[in-house]
Amino acid sequence: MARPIELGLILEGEDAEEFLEDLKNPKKPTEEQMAMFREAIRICKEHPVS
Amino acid sequence: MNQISLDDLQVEYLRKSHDVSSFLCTDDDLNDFLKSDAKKSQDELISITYLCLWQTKILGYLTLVTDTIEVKLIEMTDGVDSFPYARYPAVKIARLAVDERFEGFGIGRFLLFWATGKVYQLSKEVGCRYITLDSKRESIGFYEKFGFKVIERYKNRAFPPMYFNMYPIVVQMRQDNSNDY
Repeated sequence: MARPIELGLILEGEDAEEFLEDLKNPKKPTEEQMAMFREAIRICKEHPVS
Repeated sequence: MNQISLDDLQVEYLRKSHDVSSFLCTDDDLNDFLKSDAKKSQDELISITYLCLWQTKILGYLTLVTDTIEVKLIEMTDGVDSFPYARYPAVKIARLAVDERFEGFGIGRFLLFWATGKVYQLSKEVGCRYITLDSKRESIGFYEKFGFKVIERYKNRAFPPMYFNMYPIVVQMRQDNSNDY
C-alpha cells in the first residue's frame, strides 16, 4: 500500500502571518502567471474528461 | 520515439477497464498508488484519479482530493478582524506522475496545467480558492514560477507542501474582461 494521502495543511507562525497578509493585501500576479493560468484553463477546456 | 503532440493527449477517469500494470515512473510509491490504491480510493469517494493517455498508452496520471488550509495564530480568534475563517477551501493535487519512458515530452507540465484548469472550473461550482500539493524537491522552482508558495516550516520534508492562491488571478481576469467572465 502506498503512503496515504495527507490532508489538511496547517499554517503556523510566519507561514500563517504571510498567508493572512496575502489575504489582506494580495500581490498582483505577474504577466507570466496570468499567461500560465490562462493556458491552464485552455488546456482543461480542450481536453475534457472522457 | 516520435514527438508527442500535446493536442493529441486524452484525459480519462481511472476505470476498472484500464490496464495500469505497465505504468512505471521513477517513484515506487506513485507506482503503488496507481496500481493498488487509486481505484479503491476513488470507489470510496476519497479521491479521483485522471489518466493521461496518448493513443492507448498511459503517459501519466494525477489524483485530486478536497483539502483545507488551516491558519493557526495564537492571537487569532474566529470571527474577529477581517479573517472570518480559520480554514480555507482547497483542492489538493495529491498525486502527479509521468511514466519514465515519456519524460521530457512536457507531460508533467500538461498535467499540472490541466489540474489547475480543472480546479478553476470546479471553483465555479463549489467554493475553492487554493490548490495544494506536496512537491518533489526538484520541482519546487517550477511551481514557484507558477505562483505556488512553499511552507517554510515544512520545507525540509521529503515532499514539501505548497499552496497556490487562485483569487488574485481571478480578480485580474475579471478586470481584464477575460472571455471566461
